[in-house]
Amino acid sequence: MQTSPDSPAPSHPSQAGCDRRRFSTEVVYRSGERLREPKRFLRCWLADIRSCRTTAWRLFLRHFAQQYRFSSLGILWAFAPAALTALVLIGGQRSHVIGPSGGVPAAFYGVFGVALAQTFLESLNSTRRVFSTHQQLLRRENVHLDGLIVASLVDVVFNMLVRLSILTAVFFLFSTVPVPATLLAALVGYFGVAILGAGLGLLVAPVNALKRDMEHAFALLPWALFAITPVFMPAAAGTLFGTIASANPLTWYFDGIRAAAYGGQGLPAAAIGGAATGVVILICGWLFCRIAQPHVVERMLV
Amino acid sequence: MPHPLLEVRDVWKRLCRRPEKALRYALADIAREVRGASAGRTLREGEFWALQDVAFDVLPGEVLGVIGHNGAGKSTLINIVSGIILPTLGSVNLRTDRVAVIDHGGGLNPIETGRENAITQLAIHGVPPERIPHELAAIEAFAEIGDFLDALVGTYSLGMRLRLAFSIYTRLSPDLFVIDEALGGGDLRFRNKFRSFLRSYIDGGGTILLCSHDMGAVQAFCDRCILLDRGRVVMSGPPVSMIDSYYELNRRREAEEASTPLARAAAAGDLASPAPMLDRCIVEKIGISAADGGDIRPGSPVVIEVALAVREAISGVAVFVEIGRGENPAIATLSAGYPAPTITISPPRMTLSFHLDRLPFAPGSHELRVAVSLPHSAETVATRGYYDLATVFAVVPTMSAVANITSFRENIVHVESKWHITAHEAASPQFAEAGDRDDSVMPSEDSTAQ
Repeated sequence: MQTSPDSPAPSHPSQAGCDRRRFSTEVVYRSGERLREPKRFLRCWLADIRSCRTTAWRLFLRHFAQQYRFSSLGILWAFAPAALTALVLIGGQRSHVIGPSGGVPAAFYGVFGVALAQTFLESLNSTRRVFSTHQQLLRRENVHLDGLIVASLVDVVFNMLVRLSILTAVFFLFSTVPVPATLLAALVGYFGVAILGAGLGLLVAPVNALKRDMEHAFALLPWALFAITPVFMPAAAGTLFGTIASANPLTWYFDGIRAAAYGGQGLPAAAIGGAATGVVILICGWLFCRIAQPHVVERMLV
Repeated sequence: MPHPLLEVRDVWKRLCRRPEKALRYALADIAREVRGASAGRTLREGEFWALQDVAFDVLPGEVLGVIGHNGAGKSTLINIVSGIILPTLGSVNLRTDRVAVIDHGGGLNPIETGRENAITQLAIHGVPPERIPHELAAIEAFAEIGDFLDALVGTYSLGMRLRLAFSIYTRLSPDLFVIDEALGGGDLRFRNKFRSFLRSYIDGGGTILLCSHDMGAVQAFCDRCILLDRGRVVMSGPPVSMIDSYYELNRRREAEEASTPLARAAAAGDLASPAPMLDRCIVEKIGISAADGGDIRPGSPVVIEVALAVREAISGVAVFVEIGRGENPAIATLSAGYPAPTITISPPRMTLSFHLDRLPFAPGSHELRVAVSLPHSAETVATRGYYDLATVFAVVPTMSAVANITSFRENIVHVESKWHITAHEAASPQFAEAGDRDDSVMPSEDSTAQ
């Protein structure tokens, strides 16, 4: 091909799901060999993440426009659910105080728990739909799957920051405790909740794309999650709910974040541990989606 | 000889037509890939081979056409070459990572403006952010949609969407364009503009893999074609002969796939089935053959014979032979004994022959129907092809570029003509108004077109 000053720079076709080997500009598509050289597979993954920033940003903006453009309240809708939840819970607050040192009101416990649970669910739902949301694109272009995933993560982070701003306002309004030294761990834990959700979403994304049952199943998930996780109130020890909740890893994780944020019965280290687990799961889910991409897209063509 | 830009090596691809098996098979294939095991050539329940042993090369600067009927495997091949799906067996080697697929989808989002869509598409195709403003200006100029570039794509007409989508393609400058049926959209002027872009891309050394049913475009653009049938490359060669083979394959396929036994019998020329008996006479047979005994071609001298079995003599008879195509109105009617002098038919059998010096039909399948009637009383004595099977005959093309075009355009009639062109001094008033005068004198030419 001739090159001219008007020619754009070479594109970077996705590595995702494609068995390809590059020899300078050589690309090979062959089944069954991608993982024979895992180092190269990982190198390509990192290179693709680096090169997909513009695509990811554009796809995030596109999703953002789809959500808020031409709605009367625009971006205010991003704040509305979290703010409304906080208002409802605060409106019904009682004088009961949580925490060992005066702590925060029960309503704040609920607001905090709902913020964590919503962040987890939103990030999970965002990434588990990565194939189905972009199926038109995936079916006609060898597009960066990484760009689509990063766009989903940016969306998750945006929603998380919105929720965090509400949470911060509520915290300073109601907290009677000084800002703890473990606040940074709480923030890391909070981000980790989104990462854990996103990682689990990626792990189920291929199944979600090929089985319609998943949408129905995940519509029930919030109720199941709220039932076995101390979201609105702490689990009472010795009760059936307490026993089930204590076996739920999310209970430990959420309580750890709470303990790091304002004290309480959890272990602040669990916040860091949960976030680290989230990162591992995110990496596993991401790589799984890369391997799965051509197999999933092939079935989405039918 | 340069290295091929694209090498497709012994590619097999199995697909499944059972959506309920999709998840199970996908997970099995992912697990197999993780294990590094080969897929093998076994088919699981509900699977079929969409491609079998497909191999070809595309050299830099070459335009390769991929032709074949629907379901031949063209789209699967495109998806594999563009890296959207993987081959089950074999490999695709590309000596470039700059490949762009052109289709009618365009990937435009209705909630974004044309400008935003263009930026997103350029980003997806790897155009660096610093080049995007420059490319946008070029897209704006090519699309010619004015202020609509900043309107939501959802408000566009279909033609405007296609204009924008195809204008974006013009700024991708890949080493290989993979075209899936999409050779320009919008009005005729824009289609021509995009085709002109493709021509300059080719002339500049660009490479194209073109899958299309538009045989005119295939013939115009391609250096070479491969013919796919049921997932296999059955032939490859120059476009004119490959397109001719494609139509021949279609004719055979139509005969094979005729849906009923009666239709198959008709397609095979089996005329043994009896026509309705109107007591005094039956049409035993109607047939057509080339006068020289060879294939029936456009312009061939042919003989149409109507064989009648007669029970009792009938006078004042006229015989009408109608030539048509499917459910369409008849193309032509031949008559004998009408208006006068009429014919007298007598037992036991008679054969009536029509001689045509030059058969005026284009390549394709045609049908013969016959009616024997008594014009003075409008009484029908015998028929064939109206209430039972018509006789189907094929006009075979003489392999040529023109014949391919007439087949593609589904011409019915073959008209021979002579042409002559004359140059005039005076410019057209339309051009004169536009200040675009061309006073050059063209030489006068003559030729014969067939």
